[in-house]
Amino acid sequence: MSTSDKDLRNAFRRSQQVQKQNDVMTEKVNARVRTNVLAHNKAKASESETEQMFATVASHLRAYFASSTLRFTAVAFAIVAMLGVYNIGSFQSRHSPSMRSAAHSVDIVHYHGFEGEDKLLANKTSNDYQARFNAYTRQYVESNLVAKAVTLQPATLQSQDGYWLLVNCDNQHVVVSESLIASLNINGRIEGDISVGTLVALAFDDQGRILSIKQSTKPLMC
Amino acid sequence: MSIGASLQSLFQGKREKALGVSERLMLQYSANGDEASLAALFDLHSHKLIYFLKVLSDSTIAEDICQRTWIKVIEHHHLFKSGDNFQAWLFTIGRRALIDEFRKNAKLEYSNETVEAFTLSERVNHAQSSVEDDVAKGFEKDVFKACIQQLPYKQKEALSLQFEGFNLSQIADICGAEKETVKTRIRYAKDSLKTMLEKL
Repeated sequence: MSTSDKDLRNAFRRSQQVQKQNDVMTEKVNARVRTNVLAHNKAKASESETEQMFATVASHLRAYFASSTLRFTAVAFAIVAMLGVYNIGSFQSRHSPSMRSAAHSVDIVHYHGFEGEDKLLANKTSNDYQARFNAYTRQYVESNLVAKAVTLQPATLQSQDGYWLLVNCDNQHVVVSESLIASLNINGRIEGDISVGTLVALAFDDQGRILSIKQSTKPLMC
Repeated sequence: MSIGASLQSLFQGKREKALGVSERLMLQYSANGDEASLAALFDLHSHKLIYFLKVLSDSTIAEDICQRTWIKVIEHHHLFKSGDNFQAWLFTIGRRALIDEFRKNAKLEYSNETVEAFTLSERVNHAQSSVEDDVAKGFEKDVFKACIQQLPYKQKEALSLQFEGFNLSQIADICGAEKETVKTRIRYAKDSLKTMLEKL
């Protein structure tokens, strides 16, 4: 029997799934890289922008005008004036919400996964995928035992690149991680026949975590 | 608000509506530098990126390049513009980082002439022994990956990108090649892959 293009594409997807689910080494690598990347982001964020700016200005001044006192004074004056203009500009932009939102007025995307998922993955010494998954589920169930649903939100289920995407009336997007879906499923917290296009009711606890996803009988009232 | 400004905001609104989740997450990250958006992007794309890099190299290089790629996303987040496709941008960074690594490391050959010189039966034998190695290590049998890894570099690169869902223009942009060239590479890759899979 000859292999079709569709067979090849399916084989590619299956191969990716095999890597994701069964290759423990890849899981470990992914968790390690995730931890390092997020740590790098944290380190970068903590660097003070002001410190960087002054350091750059100071090093340039030292390099170019070390020998001329007069030039140094003139340039220092110019920089003080520029900083003044910069501060007025940044003050205005801070106090003008319309300007700020115009630059990045995109709809908000929320991502829901297990809290500390990356740390758990990185620190887990066991190679057993199931043991690791049970650890997430236990942690999530324990957090659910003390949490009660405080809000219910209607949404529509969509699918994008194989993950769940829930879109509410405000066009806010909720992406649900695969581990969380699996955990909710195991604990019977996904109810009804849910498929793409289904209207659902999302129950959130007081910390904004998803507790359950139920098929909604009511239409999405926006 | 002037008519011009109204039209502009209307146009911008329509353009933003077309943005995918990943693009919105990246714009959120770019605007606020928030960790949650970056973590979400990582979770949504990292497995695909690492698989792509593994097909083109090996596990050790793939891990290193994957990390470097994400660091570049952090460092150059300002270069991502509204309207760009996030996955295409990510894979372009990853591909370039991998080629840089190949050029630095004399042992590796980007053009992969060695593999291109192999006959079909030799490639099938290599794929067979790769599958047996995996099984011996306790991994699940993955015949497809073993076969695609045996293809010439540029062919498996183009084919992997097509299977990831990129269209011909996007693949041509990512690989820096003509659309027709990409088309030919994909056709050859599919033919070889089909023959190998049928022989195994």
